[in-house]
Amino acid sequence: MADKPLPTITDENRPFWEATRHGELRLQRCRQCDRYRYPIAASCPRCLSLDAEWAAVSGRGRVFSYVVFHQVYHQAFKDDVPYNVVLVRLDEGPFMFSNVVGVGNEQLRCDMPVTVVFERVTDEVTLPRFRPEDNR
Amino acid sequence: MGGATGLVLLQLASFAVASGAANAVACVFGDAARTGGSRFSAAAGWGDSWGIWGMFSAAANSALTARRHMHEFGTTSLQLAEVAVACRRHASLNEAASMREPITVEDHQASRMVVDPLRLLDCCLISDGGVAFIVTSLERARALRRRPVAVLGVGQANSPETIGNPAWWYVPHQETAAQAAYRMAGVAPRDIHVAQLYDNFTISVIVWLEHAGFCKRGEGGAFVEGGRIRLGGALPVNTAGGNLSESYMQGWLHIVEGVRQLRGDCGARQVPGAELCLVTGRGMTLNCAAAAVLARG
Repeated sequence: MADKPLPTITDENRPFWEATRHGELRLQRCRQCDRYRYPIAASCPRCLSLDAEWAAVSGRGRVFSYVVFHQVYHQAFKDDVPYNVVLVRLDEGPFMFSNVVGVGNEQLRCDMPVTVVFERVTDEVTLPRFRPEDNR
Repeated sequence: MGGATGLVLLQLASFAVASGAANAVACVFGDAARTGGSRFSAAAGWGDSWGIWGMFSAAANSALTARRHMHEFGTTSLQLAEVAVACRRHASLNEAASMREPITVEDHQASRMVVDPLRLLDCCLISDGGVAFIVTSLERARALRRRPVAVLGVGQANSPETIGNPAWWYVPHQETAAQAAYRMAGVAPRDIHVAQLYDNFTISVIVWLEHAGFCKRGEGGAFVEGGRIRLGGALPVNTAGGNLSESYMQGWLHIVEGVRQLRGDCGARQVPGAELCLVTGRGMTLNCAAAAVLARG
């Protein structure tokens, strides 16, 4: 059976995956216009500046939208269905795909507050996932 | 450009003819997705694959749109069902359609979940087939045996971004494409008699109704109620059955059906007095959009 897809670590995305390995979410922030960005990219999609730094973010955000997979599109997820995929909007602005853990799929809601958790998958890769955050 | 390709080629061919670069252009499409076993299951991504989180398939992108649309505007699965039922009803009147057995809202609700909130009957077919249309000058077309159909306006709009754009889920460039087509044609949404709206999934029709100006943002779900998009309704949509029930020719048959309606060739599914048809297409990871206004020549 095919394994689940993993990120290919490159010079461009290494700071992101190094950070998650150490339990931290870091995104690129444009030094020209101060915007955080994701997906990882060489230039700022707003001002096109190439000048960016890797900066820690809060790891907090809200579920912008979510879906629950019943269809098995990839054999490595055969035993996972039904599983959720969420589009999280981080408090700093960028959107990320991820999964919400620690709660039933039927309890997912748009705009529910979530906070990042880190799940080690291999020695090299730790995936950022999210859990519901109460009291927000 | 995925499901926008047919309309984009219509645009290029029209410009080529208008500029004198070509006398006639054949636009041709063929696919064997069904025989080839394609499931449109690939993971999108930018840098890192979304498959890392299990985010696969074209269906999932539209499911995200549907969920957010439901959250912001109160759109329901029953309204999605109205789209599927209308398309199937129209396909039942089309001898060339793949899926002709009528369905009900209850059938839709009983169909299995694929990517919640989209059920099996929210999803288009996977088909084999071919489509061609020929673009030439109106003068030349008027000298031919068949009634010509005029391309009054065409527009396309594309976004290079996906989740980097906060509005990506709602595909706002669709509105840009539709407005460009209307502007070139010199017509407004209220002038359109019949529409062929890209329906890879039911939610796409609802969003197109909003972007093409038939209702306001968020009102697409309510618009499809009460048979409004069925034959006999205020705006018949996808009168041949669409990608959902006729055949998934990635929007190319929407152009063909627009031509047939305007020629008056549609028999039992003919929209009486159809003189203006809007055709829309959308492709890739919600990135590419195109629209055309066609007129009885």
